[in-house]
Amino acid sequence: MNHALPALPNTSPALAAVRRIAWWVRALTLLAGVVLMSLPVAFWLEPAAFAQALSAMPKPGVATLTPTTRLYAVVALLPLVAMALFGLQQLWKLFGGYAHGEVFTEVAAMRLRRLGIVLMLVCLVKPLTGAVMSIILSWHNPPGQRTLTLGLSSDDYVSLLSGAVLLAIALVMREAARLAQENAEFV
Amino acid sequence: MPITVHLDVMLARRKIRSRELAERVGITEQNISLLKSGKVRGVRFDTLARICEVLQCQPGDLLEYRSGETPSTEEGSTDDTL
Repeated sequence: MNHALPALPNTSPALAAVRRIAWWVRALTLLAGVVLMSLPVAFWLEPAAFAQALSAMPKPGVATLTPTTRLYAVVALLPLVAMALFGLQQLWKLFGGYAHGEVFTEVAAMRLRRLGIVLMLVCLVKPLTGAVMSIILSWHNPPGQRTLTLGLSSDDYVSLLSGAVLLAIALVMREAARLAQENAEFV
Repeated sequence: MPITVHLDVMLARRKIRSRELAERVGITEQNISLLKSGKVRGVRFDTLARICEVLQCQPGDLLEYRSGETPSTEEGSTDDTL
């Protein structure tokens, strides 16, 4: 039996609310995506400021920047940016589905799960990126001034917790999708 | 499937098309088609009542149980979809 899952009825107040939220979330996701994609370029222009933001260089001005170190630092940033972009893509598609009333579906549950995994991984990758960057940016410093910085913040903890919550919700939504499918097979 | 649906027989007897039945019962023509072919997991009582009202029949005229036939195995489980 393979019934097409019905979307939420067009007259459903819940769908109207979901559509409003979906519009805003997608707009914010798009903005975040644009900012993320410009990060490597912005980093190339202002590496010290970004390194400090990533807790890679707690003291401003201790980095010895050459074109090579800038390039390596930008490359070190790419995994984090790629992961974040993947998460934003999942968010975009998730709320795209919500806007069409596709709420209780396996695909929506999968996208929630992927978002949860990304959030949990960010908690790990962000500090590692900062650590790698601190090495790269201080590589050409005089002896005794090279640094390895490992920074953890409450943001990382919140990211880990949020990711875990999303994973749990994804499991619940998967079950909801199964029940919705079963319900759709009753006439 | 041990439950056989004779909706097509009743539609022919009453000379009603599936589309008209769907409109009068309030379900989609696709669901009527699935019901006719027995490819549904179940029928709600209110749907069955409306069908009987439109076709002027009893549920027993639409549904027949045949012992000895095994229930169909789960098809299209969530693990297989998407």
